[in-house]
Amino acid sequence: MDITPLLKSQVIRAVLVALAGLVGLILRKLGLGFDEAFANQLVDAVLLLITTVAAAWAGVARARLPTPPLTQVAADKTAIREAKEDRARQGGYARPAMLVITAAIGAALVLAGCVGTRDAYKASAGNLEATAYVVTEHYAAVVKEAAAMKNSGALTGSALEAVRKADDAVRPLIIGDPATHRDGLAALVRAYQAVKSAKTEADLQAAINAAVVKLSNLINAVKRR
Amino acid sequence: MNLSIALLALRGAALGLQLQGQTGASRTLNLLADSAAAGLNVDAHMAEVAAKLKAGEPIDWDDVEARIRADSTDLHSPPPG
Repeated sequence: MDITPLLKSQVIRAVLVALAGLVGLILRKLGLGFDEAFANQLVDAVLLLITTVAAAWAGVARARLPTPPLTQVAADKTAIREAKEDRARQGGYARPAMLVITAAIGAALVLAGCVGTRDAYKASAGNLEATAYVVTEHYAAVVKEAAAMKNSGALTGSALEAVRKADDAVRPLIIGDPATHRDGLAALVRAYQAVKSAKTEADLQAAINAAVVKLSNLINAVKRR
Repeated sequence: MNLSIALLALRGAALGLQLQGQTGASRTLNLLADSAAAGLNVDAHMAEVAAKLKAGEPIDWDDVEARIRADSTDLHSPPPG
């Protein structure tokens, strides 16, 4: 642990200036300083100003600047405290109480939070076009939230890469991919509407199923980050 | 259960833990709050979709595909800053 030389410490400098001001005031009280009234007032004002600025600077330095220890005793105590803090940080969220609270809150939020999604899928049941639309809107909502989380800094690093990869897997199934001549759900719906044959129905149903699987992977990737 | 208040409580607890120097626990609560908020936004959007379907509104495929393209491009762009 490095020790800062006494006179290089901002706090100590501020304290010394403050003490100098107080010593000046004490000397004046003892009659050892200035005699003339004007000089006294001037000196009072200057000393008070110095003392105020020094005290304020000591506060700012303590609050905003690093405060390395000034003595070996303080260095030892700081090292012990940092070791304790490191151990506490390593515990992190793995503390049992924290896990229980987190799991309980998460379960409550999940249980209460998917009514609208269930409602949408229920409203589309038995109608292939509507189901394809609900899956597409669900993907649109998830990818919008993922982008917002990336922009807010909540989604970074390997988690962001995992979400991008999941998005790359699901997007061609939903909106199609001209490079591979793959049709998206909208194109398959149009084909189904134009020719309501067993083949177009089976194609659309298979596309919806595949998209739902990949969409759930994307949702899990966003949740797992 | 009022989810907005639950989210607010989560953020408050995370801030409290952060101020106490419990950064690990604070980060966990913040991540949970972020996920929950994202889930709530998705659910609110899906509730609107359900209402549209029930009302028999026409489906605008061009609109939803345009939104997907824009947000997917945003997701794959570098983070701001």
